Amino acid sequence: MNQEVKNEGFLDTLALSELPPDSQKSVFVRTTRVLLCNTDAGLFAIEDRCTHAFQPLAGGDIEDGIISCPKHGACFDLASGKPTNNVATRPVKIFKVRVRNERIEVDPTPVPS
Amino acid sequence: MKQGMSSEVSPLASELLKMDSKELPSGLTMHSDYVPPANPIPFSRYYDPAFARLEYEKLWKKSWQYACRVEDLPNIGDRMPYDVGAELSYFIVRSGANEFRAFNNACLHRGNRLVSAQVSGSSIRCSFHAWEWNPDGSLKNVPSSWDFPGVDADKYRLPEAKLEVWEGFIFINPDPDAAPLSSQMGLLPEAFKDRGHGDRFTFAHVSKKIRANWKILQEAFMESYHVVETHSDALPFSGDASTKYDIWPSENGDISRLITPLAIPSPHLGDKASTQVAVDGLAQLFAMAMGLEPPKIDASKGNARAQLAAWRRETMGQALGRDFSERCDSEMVDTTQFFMFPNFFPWFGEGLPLIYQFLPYGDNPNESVMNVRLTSPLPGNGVCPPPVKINYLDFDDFFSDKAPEFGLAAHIFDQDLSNLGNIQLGLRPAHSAHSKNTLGRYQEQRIQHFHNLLSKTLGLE
Ligand code: FES
Ligand code: FES
Ligand SMILES: [Fe+2]
Repeated sequence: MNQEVKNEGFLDTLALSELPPDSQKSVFVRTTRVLLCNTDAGLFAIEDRCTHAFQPLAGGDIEDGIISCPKHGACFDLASGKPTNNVATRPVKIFKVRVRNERIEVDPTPVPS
Repeated sequence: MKQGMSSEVSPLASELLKMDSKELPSGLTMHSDYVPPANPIPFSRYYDPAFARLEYEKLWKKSWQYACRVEDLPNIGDRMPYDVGAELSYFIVRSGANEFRAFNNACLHRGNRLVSAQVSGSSIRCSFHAWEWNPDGSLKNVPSSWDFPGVDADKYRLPEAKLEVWEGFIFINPDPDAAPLSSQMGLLPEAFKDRGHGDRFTFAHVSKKIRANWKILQEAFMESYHVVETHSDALPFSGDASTKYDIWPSENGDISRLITPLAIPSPHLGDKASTQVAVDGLAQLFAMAMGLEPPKIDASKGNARAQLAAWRRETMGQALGRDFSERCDSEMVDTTQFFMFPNFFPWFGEGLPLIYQFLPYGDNPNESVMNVRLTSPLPGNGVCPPPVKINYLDFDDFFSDKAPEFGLAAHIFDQDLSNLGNIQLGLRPAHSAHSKNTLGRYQEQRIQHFHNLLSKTLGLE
């Protein structure tokens, strides 16, 4: 049985210990770059690609579950991917994420927005 | 003048070329010290309808312009339109085994547009009253011809524009008195010696509408100065600031070129940036594009680019059944782009094998069209695959959503295009003291050169 079937479609990314509280890390899930964020509001996986000018979101400030793009300030809700100001108008893709056996796993199919 | 910026780990493109493991083709050895004079470029050039009108009269109606490629039209009778805004429309047709013609795209009866898409068939037939022409432009049939006593075959041939083919590119010129194409090509034939696009074919083709003037659009692709902001995720493997820019004025027209080396870190990342990350980053992109596992490259050996190029020669050679052993490292890895006035951009080598063509759209100087192709060397058996369909993207479409055939380049185009509407929006409100371009002397010199040529063509000097 391959890895994916065993994991109900989830793919392994990092050890939870590599993503301490209040940190973020960009990983490849298949060919998509995904930003994993460990925040007060929980663990999130959002495509690491701002819909404003298609730059990485990595390094953006996170407050109350909202990430602010380091480039030109577009803000997105980490839980839904929806923009929360008018810099960008399209949502960013988000992914289901879970922790199993101290490993962070991501479902590579984006959550429908 | 300072010619780019290097770092300890990112030499200038000109230095990297000297380290190539193979002999360089003429398209990469050519060098020019010409610097275009700095003339003002007022923003009104990008939105003033009077300026657009002048362009139609003195530029588009008088210049040689690349319309399409021979592989778009494999069979006699195959045809497709070529439009410049709403002002000029031709259709190109294969009229013989090795013969192409360009005709005015308006019916001689009451003006109906004759060709609106890529179509085939031995007769060109108007959809209004069925007047018909042969692919050579001769009149074939007029229904109820008894009612048109003045319509004789001689006078009602389809009016034709000049047409020439170079390396698979079909060029037309609406001006009946125009000098031959070679009078406008400058050193382009020398640049593509032994590396001509006659040996390539189009495998993806997008036509995208853009909310910006055609020159704003085109200029966004003429410099690598924008990479640090617009493509920041490419910095780990792009020698943006080490790019080499050259311009060759000549009696027979002017051309320019940029060479942006890849598989080295951006000099903006400093002297400690990783050459291993640089080569791995690019190797991964190349591998994903071909559906292969990325190669293992050891940058500590000091020849990471040559190792990657060797892998490219081997894998591309296998995929296409042909021999790339004479191709140099730079042409397997780097992004090299030529420009011929007014809007023709044939790329060189396999790093980013594109062709650009930028055109006005409709009657609105604030809108344009980007026609972009991905090309490949012909397979070793010399048989050109069937032509690809043009994928039409509207103003609000994104390459990443609608043009998966462009692979990872789709993401790069979306980054570029995300700026364009806003550039156009900033031009008119700009403060009067700054309603003109302020160009980088080295990195943006090709834009200056383009405008100098434009001024000359429009009689504005
Ligand atoms: S790219 Fe994110 S705000 Fe502009
Ligand atoms: S920084 Fe170039 S247009 Fe503003
Ligand atoms: Fe770009």
